[in-house]
Amino acid sequence: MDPAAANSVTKLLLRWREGDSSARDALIPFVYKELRRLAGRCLAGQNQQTLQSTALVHEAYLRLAEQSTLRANDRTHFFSIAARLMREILVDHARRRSAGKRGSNCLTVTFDDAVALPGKREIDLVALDDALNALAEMDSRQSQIVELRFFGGLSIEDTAELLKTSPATVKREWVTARLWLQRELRQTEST
Amino acid sequence: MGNGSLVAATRTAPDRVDMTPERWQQVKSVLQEVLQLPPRERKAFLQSACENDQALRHEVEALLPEEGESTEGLLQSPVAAFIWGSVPAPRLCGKQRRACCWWPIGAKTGRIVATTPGGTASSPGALTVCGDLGLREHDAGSFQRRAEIILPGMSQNTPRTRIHRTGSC
Repeated sequence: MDPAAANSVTKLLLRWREGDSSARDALIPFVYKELRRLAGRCLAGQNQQTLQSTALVHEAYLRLAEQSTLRANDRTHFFSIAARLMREILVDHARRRSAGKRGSNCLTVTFDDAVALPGKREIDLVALDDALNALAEMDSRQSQIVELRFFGGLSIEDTAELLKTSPATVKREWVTARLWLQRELRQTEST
Repeated sequence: MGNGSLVAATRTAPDRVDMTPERWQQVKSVLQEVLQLPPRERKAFLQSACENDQALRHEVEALLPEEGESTEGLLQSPVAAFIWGSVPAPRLCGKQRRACCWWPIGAKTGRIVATTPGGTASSPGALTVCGDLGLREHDAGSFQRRAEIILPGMSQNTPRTRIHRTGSC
């Protein structure tokens, strides 16, 4: 790990906690670079690759942040950025590879059982991204909840804290969002 | 480790029936109420709640889990691990028996069921990750951390213990 990067990330998280919203934007390049590096290492080489997106996000945090000086809340903020970037990295990668291998399923991304859709072991990543964008147009908060849970691995409680709402509300939104996504992806498969 | 997966493909999204944010709020509101009810009560509730809007009823019905499909699965904690493995003999540390094991990154809490070599399962104990003891690479880029766990139901005399671990992020 680059000590200078860790120092910068930690300082930026502390500034963000103190209300400096520009610190969030300044964090993005550090997190993006590390996530791309970690994801690239997993995705390089083979035709069919598997990675655990939430594990990569956790790993990036462990590598980039000096946890001893940070609070749990700082971790959650870091994960909220990482979730968005992880989604971008994976979907970009999927689109590039799909373009090169027309008609083939060429990227497998592993998620934890409970954040995967029920009974659904293989989901079209590009279709999921499209569906999440459509959900965001109807309900941006629901889309954000799914993104945080799917790609950042945030718990219900951490998601609630980040969005300044109750865990019960997040649970309700999470369940209905997943039902909607499930139907959308089923429709995509049937076309 | 059991995991769901995503597969990237080249398909484009199907044409979606346009739903306005306002309409989605209506659908979602009814759906959330229905999900609180036992399956046998849902039909009557929908008849009543959507008496003047059959399209709303159909929208909600299309999203409901199928008969017999539990919605509990939708609420479970993210499971980070579901592994059978062995841990070294627990050692006494104060009043708690502790052991070290490798744990997937991200796991914070979880449950553990310990089984003695004779096959008798001890009472399930809570898992407490006591600290990060290091990282190691495991299986093509997947990282695990070494963590200390508390095994409250364990006997000091148990030489090795088979454990069934589940963790949550």
